[in-house]
Amino acid sequence: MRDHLDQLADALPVVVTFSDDQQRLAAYRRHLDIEFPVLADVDRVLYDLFGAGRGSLRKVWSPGTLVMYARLLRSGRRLRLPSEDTRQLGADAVVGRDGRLDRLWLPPSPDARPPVQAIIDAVAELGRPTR
Amino acid sequence: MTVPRVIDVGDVLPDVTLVDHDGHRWRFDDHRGRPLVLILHRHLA
Repeated sequence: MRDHLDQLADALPVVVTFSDDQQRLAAYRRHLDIEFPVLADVDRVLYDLFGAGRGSLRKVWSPGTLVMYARLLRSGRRLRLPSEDTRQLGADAVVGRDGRLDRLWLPPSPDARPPVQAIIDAVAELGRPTR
Repeated sequence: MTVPRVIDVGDVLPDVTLVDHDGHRWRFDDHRGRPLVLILHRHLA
């Protein structure tokens, strides 16, 4: 997403985690060199609102997920063993200017996140702000 | 396992307040008027 900011017009990307370690959030943000907010949703309020549940071990550690992590390692990304709930699934959403949920993706496994272009297209469909 | 979905496409996101990377409160209602792209992570790897 960091590499596609210019295609998001005035949309603000927001990374949400359920980590309760605020120092890790700041370190994560520096590590990825991103300028947009990284939020802690310790009680998983948004996860529940969006219906992002916990996946089965089989889905969370699917062959596709293992390939995804292998690809990250080959690209030089340093991974650390997670200390958090590895079965919590993620989600991607676009919220419109009026605060309404416009688009929601609920990947059934970690390797099934939507293509960035799909998110860019959803933002583009919101149109420009009226002045 | 099925988690009940509280909101769906077209619904207004409730005014949730979270904490940002600097430890500041971050209210969703403070950002009305600007589209948001929310990326809910699984865990920090």
